[in-house]
Amino acid sequence: MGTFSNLALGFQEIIALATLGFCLLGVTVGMLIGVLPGIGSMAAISMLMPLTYYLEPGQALIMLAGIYYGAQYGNSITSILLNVPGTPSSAVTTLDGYPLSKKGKAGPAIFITTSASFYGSCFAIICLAFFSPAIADFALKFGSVEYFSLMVFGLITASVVSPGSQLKGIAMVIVGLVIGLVGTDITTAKSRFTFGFIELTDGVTLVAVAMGVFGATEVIMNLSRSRHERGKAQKLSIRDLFPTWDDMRQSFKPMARGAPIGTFLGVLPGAGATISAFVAYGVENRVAKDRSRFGKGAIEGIAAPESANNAAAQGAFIPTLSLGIPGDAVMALMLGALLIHGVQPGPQLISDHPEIFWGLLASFWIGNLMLMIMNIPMIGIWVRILTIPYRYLYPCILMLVCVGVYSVNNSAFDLMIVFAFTIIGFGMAICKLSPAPMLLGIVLGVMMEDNLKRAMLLSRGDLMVFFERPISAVLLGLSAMVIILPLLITALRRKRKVEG
Amino acid sequence: MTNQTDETCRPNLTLRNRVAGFLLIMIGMYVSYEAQRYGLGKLTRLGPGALPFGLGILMALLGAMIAILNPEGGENAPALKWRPLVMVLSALLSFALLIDTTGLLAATAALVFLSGMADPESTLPSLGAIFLLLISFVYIVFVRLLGIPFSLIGN
Repeated sequence: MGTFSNLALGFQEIIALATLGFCLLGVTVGMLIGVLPGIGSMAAISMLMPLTYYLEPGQALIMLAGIYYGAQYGNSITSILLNVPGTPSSAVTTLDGYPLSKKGKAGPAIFITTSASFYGSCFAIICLAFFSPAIADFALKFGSVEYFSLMVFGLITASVVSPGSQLKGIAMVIVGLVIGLVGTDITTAKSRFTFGFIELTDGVTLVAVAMGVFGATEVIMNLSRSRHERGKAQKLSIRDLFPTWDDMRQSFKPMARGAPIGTFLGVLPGAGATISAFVAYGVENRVAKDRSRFGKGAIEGIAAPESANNAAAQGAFIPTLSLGIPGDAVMALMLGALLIHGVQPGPQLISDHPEIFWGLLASFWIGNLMLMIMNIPMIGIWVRILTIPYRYLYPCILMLVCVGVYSVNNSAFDLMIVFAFTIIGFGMAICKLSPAPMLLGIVLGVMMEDNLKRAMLLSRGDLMVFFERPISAVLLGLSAMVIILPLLITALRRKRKVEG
Repeated sequence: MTNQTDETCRPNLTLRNRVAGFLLIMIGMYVSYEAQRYGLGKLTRLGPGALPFGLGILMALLGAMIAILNPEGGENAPALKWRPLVMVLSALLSFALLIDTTGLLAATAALVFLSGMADPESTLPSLGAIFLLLISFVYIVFVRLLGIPFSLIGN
C-alpha cells in the first residue's frame, strides 16, 4: 500500500510554514476554549469558520480540526482543577480527576491525561491513515441508491446516539433537512421556502444557523444558569507536573485499552467522544482489582477515558473524510467549510484531493505534538486563563459571532438569521430538542435530495430498488434496527415502571 | 403525593413536549402544503416539492409522537430567565441593524453594552475596556488583515 508515500505527501503539505502556523493557531484556540468553561468547541469553530474562507481549503480544515481536538486537551485541565467539564466528553474525567487534584496530585494527573490524550490520538490517526482510503475505495462503487441509504443510516444513527430522546433527535434531523432544502431547486431552478427573500435563494448560510443555535444560545443558557461556586484553581508550574513511576506504570494499560475503544466508537456517527469516555471508564472499573479506589482519585480512571475521548475525536474523521457523512455537528461544519471552497466531500475526496486528506492527517499528528508541548511547560498560563470570569468573555463571544457571520457574505441579512436562530435555538433548548442533528440535516439536505432523484430516475420510479440492492438493504435494515431497539427498551422500561 | 414531588423534579417537561410536538405538527403541515405548490412530479422524475412534501408529513407525524409519547431524557433545560434572553437578543438585533447603516463603531458599542446588561455584575468601566479591546482587534484582524469592508462610521 502507498500509505507511507502518501503520508510523506501529507508531511510535505504541512511543512509549509503558513500551514504550520494555521495548525498552531487552531490548536491554541482549541486549547484556550477547552480550558475556559462555558465555551464549547462548536461555538469556537463557528466563530473562526469565516476566517477560513480566506485560506486554502486544506489549511482551513487543518485549523478547524485543530480547534476540535485541541479543545479535548484543554477540557481535561478544567475537569481536573475545577471539577467543571468543558464538554460532556470530559465529564468522566472529573470523577477521578478532581479527587486527585484535592489530594494535591493535580500536576501528575494533568501530565497523565496529556500523555493519554496524545497516545489515544496517535492510535486513532494510524487507524485513520490505514482505514479511510480503504473505506473510501469501497464507497466509490456506491451508486446513488447506496449513497442515499448511507445518508439515511448516518443521520438516523447520529440522531439516536446523541444525548436526549431519540424521537426528538430524528424530528430535528427532519427539520434540518427541510432547512437544508431552502433555496433554489437544482433541477428546476424553482425557489423553495424563500418567503420572497432574494438572500435565501442560495440557501440558508450554515454558519449563521450554527452560530445562532450553538454560539449565541449557549451564551444565553450560561447566563441563565444559577451561578455555582467556582472552585479556586491552585497554582501549578512544570515542577509540580511529573508523576511518580508508580502513577505512570498504572496508566499504561488503561491508555492502551482506551484508545481502540475510542477509535471504534468515534467512527460511529453520534456523540462518539462522550460515549467512548464512559465506556472506557466502565471497562477500567470492571478489570480493576480494587474497585473501591474509583471515584476517589484512581489514575486509571483518568487515563482510560482521556485516551478514549481523544481517539474518538480523531476517529470521527474517518466517516467524514472517507464517506462525506458527518457524525456530529462539528464534522458537519467541517464539511460545510469544504463545500464553500468547492471541494465536494464524499468517497472521491481522498483520490481527488490527496493533498487535503493526507495533509490533514499529518497535521493531526503535528497538532497533537504541539498540544503536548504547549500543555506541559505552559501549564501555569492555562491555569491563570481558566480563572477569567465569564462576564468578560461573553461579550467577546457575541462580537466574534457577529463579525464572523457578517464577513461570510458581507451581509446583514445573515446576521438576522443568527438572530432568528438564536430565538429558535433557545426555544429548542427549553423543549430539550438538541440542535446537533438539525445541523447534520442542513448539510446533507441537498445531497440527499440529489441522490434520491437520481436513484428514482435510474430505477424508473421503483422505490423497491432501495431494498433490492444488497448494500442499501443492509444499511436500511440497520437504520430500522437503530430506531426500533431504543424504542423497545423504553417501552419495556415503562411497562416495568407501571407494573412495579 | 409522590406524583407531586416528581412534577417538581422536572418542571413542565410534559408541557414543553406538548408544545414542541404541536409546533412540529404545524410546521410540518405548512411545509407539506407549501411543497405541493412547487410540484411533486412523478416517481421517475421527482419534482422540487416531492422531498419537502414527504419530510413535512414525517415532521408532523414525529411531532404527534412527541406530543403523545412525551419522551424524557436530555440535559436539564435551563430555567427561563428573561434578562439574559432579552439583552442578548437585543444586542444581536441592534448589531444586525446598525452594521450597514451607522457602521462598525456604533454597532459594536450597542452589542457590548446591551449584552453587558445581561449580567448584573458587569460594570461600565469593564464593558468600556472590552469595547476598546474588541474594536481594535476587529479593526486590525478583519478590516486590515482580511480586508472585509466594514466602515467604521457608516455611509
